[in-house]
Amino acid sequence: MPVTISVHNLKKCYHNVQAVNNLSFTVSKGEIVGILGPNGAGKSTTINILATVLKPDSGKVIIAGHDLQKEKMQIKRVIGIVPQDLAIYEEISAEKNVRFFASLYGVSEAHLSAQVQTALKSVGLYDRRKAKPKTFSGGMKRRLNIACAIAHQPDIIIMDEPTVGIDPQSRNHILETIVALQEKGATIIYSTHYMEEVEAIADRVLILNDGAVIASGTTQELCKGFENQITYSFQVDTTKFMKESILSQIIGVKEIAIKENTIQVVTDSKKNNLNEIISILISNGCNLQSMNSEKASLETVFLTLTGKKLRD
Amino acid sequence: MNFLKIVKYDFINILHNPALIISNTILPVVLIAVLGFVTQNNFGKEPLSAYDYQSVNMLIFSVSLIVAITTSNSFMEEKVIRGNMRIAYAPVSKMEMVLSKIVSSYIFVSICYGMLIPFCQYILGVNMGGNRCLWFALLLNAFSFFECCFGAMFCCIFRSEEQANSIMQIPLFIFIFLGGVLVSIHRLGKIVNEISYISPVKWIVRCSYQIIYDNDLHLLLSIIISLAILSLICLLICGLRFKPEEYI
Repeated sequence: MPVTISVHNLKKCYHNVQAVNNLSFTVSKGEIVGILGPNGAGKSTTINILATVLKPDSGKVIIAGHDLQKEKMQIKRVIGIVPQDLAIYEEISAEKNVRFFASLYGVSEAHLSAQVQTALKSVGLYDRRKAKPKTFSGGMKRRLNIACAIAHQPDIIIMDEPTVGIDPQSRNHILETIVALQEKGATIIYSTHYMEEVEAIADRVLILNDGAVIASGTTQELCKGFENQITYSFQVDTTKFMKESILSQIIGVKEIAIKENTIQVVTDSKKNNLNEIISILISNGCNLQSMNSEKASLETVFLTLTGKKLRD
Repeated sequence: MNFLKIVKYDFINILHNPALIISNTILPVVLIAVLGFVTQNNFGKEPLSAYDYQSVNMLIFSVSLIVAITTSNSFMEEKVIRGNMRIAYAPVSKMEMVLSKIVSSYIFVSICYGMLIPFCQYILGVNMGGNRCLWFALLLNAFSFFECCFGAMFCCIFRSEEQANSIMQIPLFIFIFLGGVLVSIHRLGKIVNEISYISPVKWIVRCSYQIIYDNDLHLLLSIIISLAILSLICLLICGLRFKPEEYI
């Protein structure tokens, strides 16, 4: 697949804080690339640079064959941005919002109505096209935010946390819309905090930390190094007498997290140490209520690599 | 033309803001009525009644204070700033973005004051110069354009509507005070009187009375040219200071 977006040694500094630090990656045509990273990892800065509204300090970005430094307007014409904040006018009908923003991209009057209709239908808002966004639910506003970004039928769509704070139905609809856009040939960059979304739709994942890519690949590729890792979660009546140092002595145990009535143990599955873990828990006054086990997921990879929880 | 499309939608957004409509239409009339009533004992009936005097002063006062705020609202008000953000992502130049806010609010206030002057002259029956009210309207219109540019400039400098509005009011109130539309400046001594000539409002007031009562237009052209130059300076500062990412 030909490369549509190429980012090379990108740097951006804000008030002596290096938000993006030698960032390099490529995105192929028709690919959905998920960008994951803890708060402050540089995701939004990267997206705003790709959206051409933020000037990088250095580095080279080529989008659809255009150099970001020299051909900003050409790049703007081929991309659609779904910003994290709702970039819509609340007092103007949904249809007029989509029509106005699509018209700024030079869509001819002859095609405008059809494209607006397609965009509204694809996000499931066609029946509410005459209503003002101020009467919409959060999920509907998010969907309209997407319709405004896709009505001019861009080749590249950049989404910055488009599903923040919405109901599962709307989220599901948005994810389906994204997959449908990919099927029509769009290249999509999708930044999110939700691992399951990336696992569901992304062909490839970039994990960002401190402004640089620390891992990239498909979900399977990223989980590869962690296939022998298993996470046990124990629900106990009390953790008062339990100490991390006791569990850490068990062979194979890698990480321990004790909070309230839950004890989480990440261990090497090949060591078969479950019986030993349980007996230590019981002998230290923890009466087991329930337990479950989970094999390595993208979240495990993410937390291991970044050492941070998503929402610090 | 993206510029005209943006102007159109900016104008529609202004029309959706009742506070801006009221402040540019009903408020000046209320001010004229209240201050005219309160000060009527200080005036005779001919040639200048309290209502004649307050009409001219309050229209100038409203343009001085409210027009700049109208532009800053259309630029960065909470309800529109997010939509404006999407314009920043679109293939639109930054000067088109700034100018569209200025032009849309200028069209809006031109319509408002374009209706208020004949309303005062022919419905309320106050003296706006009769047929010469067109010259007064032209003067007020040029002043409105300057105020629009002035409001946009403050948004570009301070990058937030709230900050722009609060800081902008300081020079505006100084101009209004020195212009003598609220209190008579000549009673405050020679020095204050001399300083008052730096206020554009002072010149607008002086020119307005010359047009209405003396049929004298000799200041009009020079004031319009001066306002055009001041507007250009504001636009230049807008161009230098405005960064589309400030919407983000």
